[in-house]
Amino acid sequence: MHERADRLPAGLVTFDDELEREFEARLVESSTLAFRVAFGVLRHREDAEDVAQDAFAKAYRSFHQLRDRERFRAWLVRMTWRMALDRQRANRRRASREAIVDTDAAPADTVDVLARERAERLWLAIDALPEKLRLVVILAGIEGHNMKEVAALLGVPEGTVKSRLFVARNELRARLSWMATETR
Amino acid sequence: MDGHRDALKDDPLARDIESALRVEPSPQFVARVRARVAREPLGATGVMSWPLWLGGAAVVAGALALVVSLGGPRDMRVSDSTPSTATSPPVLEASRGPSIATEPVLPQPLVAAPVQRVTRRAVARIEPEETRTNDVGLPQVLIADDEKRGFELLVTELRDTKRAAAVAEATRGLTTPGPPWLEIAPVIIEPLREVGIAQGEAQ
Repeated sequence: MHERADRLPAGLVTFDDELEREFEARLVESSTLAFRVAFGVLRHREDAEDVAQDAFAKAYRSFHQLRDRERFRAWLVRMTWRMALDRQRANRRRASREAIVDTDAAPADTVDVLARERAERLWLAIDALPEKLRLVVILAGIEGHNMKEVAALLGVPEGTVKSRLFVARNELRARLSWMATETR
Repeated sequence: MDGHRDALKDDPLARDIESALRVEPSPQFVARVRARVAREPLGATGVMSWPLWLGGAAVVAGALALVVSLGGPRDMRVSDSTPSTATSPPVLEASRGPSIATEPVLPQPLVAAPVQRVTRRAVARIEPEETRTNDVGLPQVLIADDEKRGFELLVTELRDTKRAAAVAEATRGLTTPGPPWLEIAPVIIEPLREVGIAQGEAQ
């Protein structure tokens, strides 16, 4: 991405080159965030990478329109979240179509069946949350995010994040305890 | 804040969620994104942003409004007034004489249109049209000089022939004056247009 800018003398760096450099810096610092946000929705590594990639491409196309570059992460998170939800819907439609044909597909390797089952239950509970609560739970669950950062990413006050997270955790506990008692 | 965060970490549910989300993208992920982005155009080069689209649309709308406002009264004149020479296209009639050949002759309607009540407002609307027509100027017919000369000769010859025939007829005594007690009132032929209007009124 920098090849063109590197060939130019220092004083002749164009506006586009500057944008590209800035985007590169944002890409490096935000790639894992975008991937994890997508993974939080899709729980499929390849799909999450595809969606994050698409989100970055979209962000790149519109990068010059972003006036406040400090809002890039929040912007990217929202785009990735939306695109991941779209992909999830498409996957569900496809899965429901393929389920008729491929009913006895072999399960994936079961290294730790208990941990897997626990994670599946957790994700089922998270999926059942309303969208606003779900996004807060996932962003707060991504390592390194405190309330203030989540609030900045969502563009809402910190108190809103706290209350949403509180409600979400209560709902999750209720669902997980119900599922735990049922599976026993 | 950190205290709150620590408290969350102590929560088994929070730990579960965090560990479920502790996934790393593949090492090639960033490289793939770079490759993908390299194929994308930076920004929207060649694509106008929405303010430009909006500005362009406003300019077009303004131009359309101007055209409509200028062209509107003309249409109203045509519909309001009787067919007048001012609104009719100029038609050239070259068979009237040599002088006609260089100036256009506006046709008179053969049958008068139905009588319409021409209000003052309609008249006021007509007047600018006539002045505008005069301002614009009607097209002139371009005829070659030799053609014009030939045409003038033809007309003059016809006129002379008629005059010579009339003189010969008078000298031969073929035309006799009528009896003095017989007075023939001059026949006045009204223009076709007025007759048409009268017919329209009669109807």
